[in-house]
Amino acid sequence: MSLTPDEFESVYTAYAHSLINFMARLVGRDEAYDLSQEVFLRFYSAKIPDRKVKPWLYQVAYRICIDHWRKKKTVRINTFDQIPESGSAAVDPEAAYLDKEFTAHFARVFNGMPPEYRALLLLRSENRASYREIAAITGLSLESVRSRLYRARMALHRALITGKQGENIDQM
Amino acid sequence: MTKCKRWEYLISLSIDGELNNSDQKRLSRHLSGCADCRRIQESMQNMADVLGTWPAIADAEMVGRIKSDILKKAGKIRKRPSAVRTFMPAYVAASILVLFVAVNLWLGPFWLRPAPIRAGLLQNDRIELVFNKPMDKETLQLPEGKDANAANVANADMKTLFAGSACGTCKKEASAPLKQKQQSREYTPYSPSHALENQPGHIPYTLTWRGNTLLVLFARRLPADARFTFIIPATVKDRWGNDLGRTYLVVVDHGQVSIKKTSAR
Repeated sequence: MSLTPDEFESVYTAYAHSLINFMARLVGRDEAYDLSQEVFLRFYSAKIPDRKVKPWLYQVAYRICIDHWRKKKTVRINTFDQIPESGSAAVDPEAAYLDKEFTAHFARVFNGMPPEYRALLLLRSENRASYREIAAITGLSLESVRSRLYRARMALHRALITGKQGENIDQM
Repeated sequence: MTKCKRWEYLISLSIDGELNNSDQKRLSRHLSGCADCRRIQESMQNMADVLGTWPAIADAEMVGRIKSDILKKAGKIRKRPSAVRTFMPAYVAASILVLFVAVNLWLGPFWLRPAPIRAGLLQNDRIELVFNKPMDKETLQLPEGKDANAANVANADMKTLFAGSACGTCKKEASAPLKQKQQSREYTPYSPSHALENQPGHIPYTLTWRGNTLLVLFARRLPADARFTFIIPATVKDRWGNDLGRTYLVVVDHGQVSIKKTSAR
């Protein structure tokens, strides 16, 4: 092993929660349980400089998830079942209900997108990664990151409006 | 790309704060007059808000269990260290040693000073002289102007072999027939400049190499009581340019060959 227990603990504490969540959004909670272990076990035996740890972890996680999705093709992600009650329920029950309904609808539509596009949206909005960081994690060029994010958003927008999925994002 | 698609693209960039000031101003002017693009901007902003705030799937309990599993697996891997990693230094050392031995078996030990190590007389018509390493054959050259059919003299110091005479003081013996000198005969070398190739009793020879072995091939069998000496000078070199450093005498006496080394140069 290349890492001491303390070094591993420090990295795990810093990145595990957001990384496992990212993977769960791509492949589902159950699959993310096993696949995230693979990421950290690889990290355990690799010598990664400190400043490269985060992009390395996300790069490996992204590739593992995409490869897994391609093998399995049908991955059920029941994220909308796990959405907790909104904090606005005490103030406006109807708004809270609509809010939850929208989020559930959003999650259904979102989970129907190809994982490559979901990854881009998650990295940008949930993980607050810059375009440059997204490019490094996914292996895309900066211009590809810009154009694919635009396409993913437009596909999601149309699917949310129409309730239809399966639009060919790549031909937008 | 249609006109509004161009603006839609800029809207996507503006959601991420990737527009410069002038493009942001142009976009704002367009949005003030285009309801469709305003709807798209609102939708994209909602998406970013939902994605940025919706609850995590992985909770602390899941993260903790994953960590335990990782540490258990990491511990198992640690208990069974890779044999390659453990023994890598030994493998490397062994490989280097094998390579070193192979190179030296093939090339001969390059760092050692060259020297003749063994000599023998075979079938009374050839002397085999074995060196400890490959030699530079160019340093055992034929001197210029010699007849190839006569004795090939290796260099100025490799004397022509002949029977019954000695250089300098033995001129009076030069014409003595061989048979009269058989008991105490010493075949004393002459320098090539004496042109003794046609002297009676002279036995021409040629030199040839087989690997580390120099063969002195005589044109005919030596007499059983032949006694002579030839010299390997100190300037003879090995393949790597190291010279002998001392002169060697190869003594042939009644069928026995011995090597004697003289003091350095």
